[in-house]
Amino acid sequence: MSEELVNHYKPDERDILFLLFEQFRIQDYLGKAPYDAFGEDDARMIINEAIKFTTREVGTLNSYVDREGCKHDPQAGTVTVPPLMKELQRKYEENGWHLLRAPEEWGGQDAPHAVSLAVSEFFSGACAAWAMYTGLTLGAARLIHTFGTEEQRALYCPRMYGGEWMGTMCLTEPAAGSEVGRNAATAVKNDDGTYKITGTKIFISGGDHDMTDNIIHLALARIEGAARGTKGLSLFIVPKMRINDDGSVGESNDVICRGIENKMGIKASATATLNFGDNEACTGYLLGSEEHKGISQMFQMMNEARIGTGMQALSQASSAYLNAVGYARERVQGKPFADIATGKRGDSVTIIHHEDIRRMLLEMKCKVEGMRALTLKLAAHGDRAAVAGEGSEAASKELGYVELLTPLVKAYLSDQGFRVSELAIQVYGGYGYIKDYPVEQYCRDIKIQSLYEGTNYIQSLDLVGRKLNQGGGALVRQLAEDITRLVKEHEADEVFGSDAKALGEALGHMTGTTMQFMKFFQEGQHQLIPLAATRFLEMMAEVTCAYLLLEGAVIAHEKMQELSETDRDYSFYAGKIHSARFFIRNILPGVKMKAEVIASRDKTAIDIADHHFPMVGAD
Amino acid sequence: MKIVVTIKQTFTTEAKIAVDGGAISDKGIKQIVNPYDEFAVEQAIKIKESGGAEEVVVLTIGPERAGEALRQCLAMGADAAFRVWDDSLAAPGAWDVYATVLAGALEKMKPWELLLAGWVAVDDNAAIVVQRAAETLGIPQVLVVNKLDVGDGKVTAVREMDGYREVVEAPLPALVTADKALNTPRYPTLPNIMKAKRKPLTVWTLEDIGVTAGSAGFTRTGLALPPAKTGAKIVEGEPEEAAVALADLLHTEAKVI
Repeated sequence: MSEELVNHYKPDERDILFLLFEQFRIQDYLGKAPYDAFGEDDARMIINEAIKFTTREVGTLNSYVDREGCKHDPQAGTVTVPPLMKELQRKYEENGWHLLRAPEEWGGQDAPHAVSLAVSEFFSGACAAWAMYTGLTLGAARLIHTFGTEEQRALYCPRMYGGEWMGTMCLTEPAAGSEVGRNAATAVKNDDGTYKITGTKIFISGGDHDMTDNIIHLALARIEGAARGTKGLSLFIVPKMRINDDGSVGESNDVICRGIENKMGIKASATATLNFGDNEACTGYLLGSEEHKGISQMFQMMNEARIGTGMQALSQASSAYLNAVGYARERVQGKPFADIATGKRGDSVTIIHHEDIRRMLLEMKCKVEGMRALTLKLAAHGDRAAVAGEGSEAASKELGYVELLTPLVKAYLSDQGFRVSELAIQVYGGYGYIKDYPVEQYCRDIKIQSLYEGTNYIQSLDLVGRKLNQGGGALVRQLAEDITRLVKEHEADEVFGSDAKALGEALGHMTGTTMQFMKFFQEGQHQLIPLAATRFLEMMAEVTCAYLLLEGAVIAHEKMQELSETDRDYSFYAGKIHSARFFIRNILPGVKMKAEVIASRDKTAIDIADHHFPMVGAD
Repeated sequence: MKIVVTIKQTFTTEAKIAVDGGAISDKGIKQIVNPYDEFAVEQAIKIKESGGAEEVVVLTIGPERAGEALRQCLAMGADAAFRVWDDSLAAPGAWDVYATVLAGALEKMKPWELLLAGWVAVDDNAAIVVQRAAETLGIPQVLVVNKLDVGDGKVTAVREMDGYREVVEAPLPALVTADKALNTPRYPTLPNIMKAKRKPLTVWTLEDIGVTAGSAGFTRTGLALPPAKTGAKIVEGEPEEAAVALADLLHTEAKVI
């Protein structure tokens, strides 16, 4: 290890505090059950300490784990992670951070989602590959916590939430990627009520490693004789190592790692191929007591993982953006365009003074801030539902928002996060392409996020096929009402009037497009729906981001009035206003264009026959 | 044994300073526990953990906001915290007044055996307040310490200087101020962050500690940011000519040769 361990992670603490306490005002529900243990001061201190920990202990390892990657031993069928990452995991647990989101029942702090998601931005942003292990463990543990039998809960939850064992989700198989229903792994019931599991799972994040003595896989498999497709799938708890009666780790449970992928990014996250039952000695335990519930159970984890994926993309994009700002402030290159144009002999300037660099920095800024607002809004709605109480009308309204925003957070953040990181490289110029600077790694690490946890097209189908129709369109109606209220409040406003109007118009194009989908369906033009789905998701995300940025700008404008221009907060608030304006004036106009393209019913992509593409095959 | 640690809330050294109305603007500036005070807190907790003390108490002078700094110390492992404040103390740089107030609070907190603090605060670089309070209380002080042992009614401290080291002993009660080599401060763990608010945090007025602050013996008459850096000048041309031109500039403009 020749290179120094330097932290490049830059957290955007001020923006996060703004969103939590000034825009979404989570302090209004903190202190209320089930978050009665949490006050605003707790949340602020947690954020403060998490930043300290991540910038000193985590961010320093990001390029190191990228260089080292994971090592697979084919003889033993095991994987080792970079040694310093194991050390980091130990520190992370010593400092109790793994307990943040864990339920109180298992010794956790059960923090509000808005707080834990904000904090996860720091951990993920500082070292995404490492943060995945604990994120997935939390998801797997929650499945057992929610659906497991009392015995299963008592065995696994304390150990998984406590950090002793980690967990995974095993869906994907060679022939079952986006099409989960083609799952071929089988489960045969043994006399003692357990199941014999056989099959191969691929692309399993954290599928094998040496950070914990045991790994608890949650694997989808089909019980002998069960129906085809997703409805015949059941979910099994399959430990890597058998567990003795006293809870200690026993011998192998015949789950063998046959290899790990050599990937573009997140190299320290072991992406494993797992063979279950090669020696017919793999035992699985049905999660809970009902068979054939696998898919609906797995969806709890999937939804959580989708939000986590969006957050992961945001965390990398945000640090890429902030690094680019820092670089642009220092790099001296080129004279101002206006000086050249007017023949002045001006000095060379730092590149932040160049128009094109400012355009890129502001595009990154407004997208990152919009994306973060989208994510923390989702989290705050989830928290408010919990405060309102399960089953109440208020809770179902809040949860409606969570459901609507989940595919937007997953897909829009991972698509745009990648683009933000690519812009960051552009700001650096050629230096951005080399490993001496952090931005190329962000770009590589982000790319996976549009692919896993359901590709972004799958997200757009979830939005168009499921969420748009839910409750007779109630979810979108709610969003549209909230946006319209903001537009009405400010359309005559001197400061934000024209931007509010532009938002109102974009909203009109968005809701108009939802009508188009209904028409496509009624007229039997089914192929137009998947063709437009991705584009529509982007439209809705852009309208929602613009709405949240404008809402933030209004708050910022008010707060600025009490400050003098030399205050740091004044600059922050002024920056928020510029974010909203740039997004609304430079990004949002694309919504109209997309609406027109969808309404034009262009079918070129369907009309082109497959032999009209060059006749090349896959290698 | 009881240990008192005095701490100060300061702005981070990375913060961009803005001057507003003759004072440093604290709007939007992140506040932290003075880093040298963190070493003192860590040392106190370590002494307690190794059985050398029963109680660690932190004390500060500061407005309500300073409660955050105290809470961080409680989350690190201190048992109780005290904050003294009066609006008359808001005038910056009145070190002699702060020392009087601190001495009054420390008098009220008696009995204690060891007083710990950072050797200097990074915001004003004064290194005077707790030292002067110790003088008022008539206790020995060992300053800028890199290693510390406490036992048998005394402290044994190591002070590192350029080229040599000094070992100093002093009877308790005594003041010891911490340098950065003393230890590595721990992070407050998440469970301890949550527990910190259940620990006692007492707020005292000047009346509570029986002190009249009085006025400072001196006045700050100016506070200004350093002048902005002027742009570097690049001397262009052939090496020989440029060297001559550079020497000329160094002589006539910079006046350094």
